[in-house]
Amino acid sequence: MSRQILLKRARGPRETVLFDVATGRSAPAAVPPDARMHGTQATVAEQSFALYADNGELWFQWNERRWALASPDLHLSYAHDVAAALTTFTAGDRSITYPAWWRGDPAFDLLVPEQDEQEDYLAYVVAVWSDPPLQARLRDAWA
Amino acid sequence: MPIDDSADKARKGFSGTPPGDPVCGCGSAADFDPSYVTPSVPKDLVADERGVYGYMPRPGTQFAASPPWPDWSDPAQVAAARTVRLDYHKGLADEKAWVDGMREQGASDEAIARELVDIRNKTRLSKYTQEQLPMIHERNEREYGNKFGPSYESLLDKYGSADEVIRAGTRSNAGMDVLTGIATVAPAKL
Repeated sequence: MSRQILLKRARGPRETVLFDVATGRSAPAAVPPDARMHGTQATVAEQSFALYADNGELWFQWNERRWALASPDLHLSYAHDVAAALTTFTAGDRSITYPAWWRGDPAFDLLVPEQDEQEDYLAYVVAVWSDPPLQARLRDAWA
Repeated sequence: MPIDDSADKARKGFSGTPPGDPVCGCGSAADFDPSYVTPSVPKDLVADERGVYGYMPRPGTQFAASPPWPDWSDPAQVAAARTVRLDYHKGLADEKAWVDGMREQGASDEAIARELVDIRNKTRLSKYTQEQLPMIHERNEREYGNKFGPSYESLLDKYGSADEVIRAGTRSNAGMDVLTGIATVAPAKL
């Protein structure tokens, strides 16, 4: 039997979704505004990504596959091909390349990579992965 | 040309000082020193004496391609990059000083975070001309459901608490800071 948890949609209009842990699929949830949610979900290049707390751990999920974020076996990377205005995100042996968030943006400054975390959900995931104290705070907030 | 005078006012609001005056108690811009020590080598760097500050990006990582990235072994290119980073850190210092001031006045984390999100959005929009604004409004609408940028509530969803929303905008990329000499790596313990 599939298991579903409440997450917030992190891209587009703000809404709560029911996220199926087995498949990585999500659908709008009709729940009270104060319903407890356990993380966030975003669709990037037609793929589903989520970051959430479950059973006392923080998890990163890409479609049907998930990794414990604190696992030493998980390696994430995020990089831009500036000439092609493309971004490549890698999690373990999976990789995805998609249009960079700053494509056509005249204010983008390469030397301020901190913008990525604010503008691209997958850069935010990498920022959380790189910051164990932040992971601990999110795990508590989303428990 | 700035398109939104309120954004300039917002930025000045960080310091509460007249334009051109020192801000945040950090001294003049020339004296501003954001240097710090990072406890370990950032994951995307490797010690390499060719680097101006003793490190180079690992091949295939974000700051490795050159161009468009500076040649991290070229002192002139790295100096130019360092200037950009110092400006960025000055903005962070002003923002942190504003947050500290608000806390001293007794403002709640939520009130501070809400105002900070608004200031950040206005500051960001001020970088665009009137002609460019429709493009960024459209993108913001698509990304955040709000043409001005992320809302406080959407950032609260991502960061879990008002304090973390405040903190999120004041983080700095340690890899970039090591490459530009703003951060130094703590010596390894024997």
